[in-house]
Amino acid sequence: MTSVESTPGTPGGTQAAAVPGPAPGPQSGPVPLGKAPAARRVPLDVRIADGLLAFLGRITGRMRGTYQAALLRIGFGSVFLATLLREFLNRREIWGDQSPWSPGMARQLLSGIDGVSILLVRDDRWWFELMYVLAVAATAMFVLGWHTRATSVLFCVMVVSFNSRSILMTDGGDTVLLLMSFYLMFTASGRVWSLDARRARRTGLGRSPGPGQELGVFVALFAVVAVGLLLPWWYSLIGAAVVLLGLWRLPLELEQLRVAVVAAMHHCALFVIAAQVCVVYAAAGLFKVQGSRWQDGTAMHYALNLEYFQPWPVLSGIADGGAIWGTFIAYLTVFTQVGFMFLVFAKKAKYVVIAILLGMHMGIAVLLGLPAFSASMALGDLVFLPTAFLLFVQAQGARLRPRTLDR
Amino acid sequence: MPAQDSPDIGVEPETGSGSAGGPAAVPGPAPAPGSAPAPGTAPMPPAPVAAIDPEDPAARSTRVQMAAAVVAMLMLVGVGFHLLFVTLHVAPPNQASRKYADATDSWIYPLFEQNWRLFAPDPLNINVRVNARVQYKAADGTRTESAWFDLTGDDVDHIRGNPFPSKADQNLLRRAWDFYNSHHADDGTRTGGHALLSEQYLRRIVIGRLQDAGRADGIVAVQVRAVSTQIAPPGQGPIEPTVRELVWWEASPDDFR
Repeated sequence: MTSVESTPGTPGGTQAAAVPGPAPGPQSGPVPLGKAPAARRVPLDVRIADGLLAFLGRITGRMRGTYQAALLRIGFGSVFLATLLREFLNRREIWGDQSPWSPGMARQLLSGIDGVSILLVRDDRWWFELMYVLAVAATAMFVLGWHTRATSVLFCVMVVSFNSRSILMTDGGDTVLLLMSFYLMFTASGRVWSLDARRARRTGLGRSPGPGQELGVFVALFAVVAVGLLLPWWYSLIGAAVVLLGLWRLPLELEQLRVAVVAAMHHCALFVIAAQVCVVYAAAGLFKVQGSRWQDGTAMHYALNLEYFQPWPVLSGIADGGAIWGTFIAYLTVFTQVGFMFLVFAKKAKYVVIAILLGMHMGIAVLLGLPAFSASMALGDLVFLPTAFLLFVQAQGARLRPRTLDR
Repeated sequence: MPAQDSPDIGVEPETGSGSAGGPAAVPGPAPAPGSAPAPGTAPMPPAPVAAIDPEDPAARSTRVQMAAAVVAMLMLVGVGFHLLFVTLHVAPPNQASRKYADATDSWIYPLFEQNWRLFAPDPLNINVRVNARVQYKAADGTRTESAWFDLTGDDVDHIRGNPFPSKADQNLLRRAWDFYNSHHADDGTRTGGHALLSEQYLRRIVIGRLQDAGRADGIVAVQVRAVSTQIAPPGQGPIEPTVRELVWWEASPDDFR
């Protein structure tokens, strides 16, 4: 890290600017002694420039947050996979040829917002079934981290397509999934906990373009074709040109630039993901602050008595347990949501906040019958877990593995 | 394969593939498959120049670093704009979001649309049951009316006791009714651009369910009503439901799938 900070800035910046300071002294005759130390101070503008360069050096440098990105990849991929498989028997009614939301109606609604869906390319059943199978396969590959960058594009195409085909079937969990599937394309989510990582370990083949990456290029071309079905054709032309470049080794400096840009993209995307989670809670909290039922503590009573969100009426009755409890939960919810973005940057308080939110989402999953929604929300919270914690979990997992697998 | 020339390796069939990297200069004690050629023998192929790790920022020239910094700068600007638009899009309506509504919408739709009024400002305090009935026309032209079906009741039955309820039960009819309501006044006046679409959606849901039950032949008209029951405040007795009937809609061939 330190080397990055010093290299770009110093040669042209700091020293050149700092040296002239004391230099004029001897020439211009007597100098008040008191001024000397002040002159040695680096001017503010230079320090700002240095800081900026160091910051840019950090975000283009070694990747951080690869474990968090992998966690999101596995998590959101699994949520979408579970949804697809859970709705296997209802797939034609929800997204397919049997849907009361006909393709024509979907197109009419989408035309107003420039929405697109790969499911609307053709209206016949076999196309839908083909896309459904493809979605399951692409999502499974994405979860496993197989040529992750290419499968992440396919994953996003599928999530966008299934959402757009039946917008009126979606809920908040699908919205989070859609946003994250888009942001995840820009992260290096396959660096760890993936088949890609395993292949890299076994073959020693790097991630750089060049000989040995033919299969990855092929998968990427596949993704480019999928994108081409949604966007104007010249997008896929550009995409194919970029992807095919991956067959050749780039000159060193160009390769270094490519890697730097990929790292910057990864860091920006992770930042956007974190910010997006904060936006969700801040907005949800701000709207609740305006609600009288959250203030008088009866909000949970009403939420628990909605027929559509009451898979276990007896449990709902138990959870709807009295004035103190209801008020406590209502206030805890509002405070946690409004305060989320402040607390999550506090080193220790964030564990408390994350634990509270995970508890709430667990409750929502069971009591309101919204497991997919809750899982998506909970994954958003987990981005804020530090790498050390994730590695600790990994180590615990590794300790269990020999007992279960090797014997 | 060179391995065969070597006397003591004759028994070692896999050497050729094992030392793929080194053009088997060869001899020596049976090399383990992955290992480098044995020491002390003929000229090694020069060790691959310690390849520069492109991920090592310290190995980058100033030129590369500057180019990367410029690109990163542009990305940060993009990130800033994106987050600004998202914030304007989700925030409670305010003077800034009104002023930049057009720019915000053109950036947000269709990909970044979001709404976080989850049980907010207040959770719904009403249970709506969507019911429907249909008119059949027999071959001789007589019309008969069916009884009311409780479509929401079917959904609720499917959700009860199910740890992972289907979207088809949780969202389909519930959101179709919301969609209808957001494009109609309480007296049924059409108020939104998608009013007709929302009516057709309801008709198709009703007819679709009857098609599933094999009772859709001869349907010529559909009527929907909403039976709304307020959730009583804590500790109070149940509240009587109110009923709102919509007009009869003629069924068109498009309403059948």
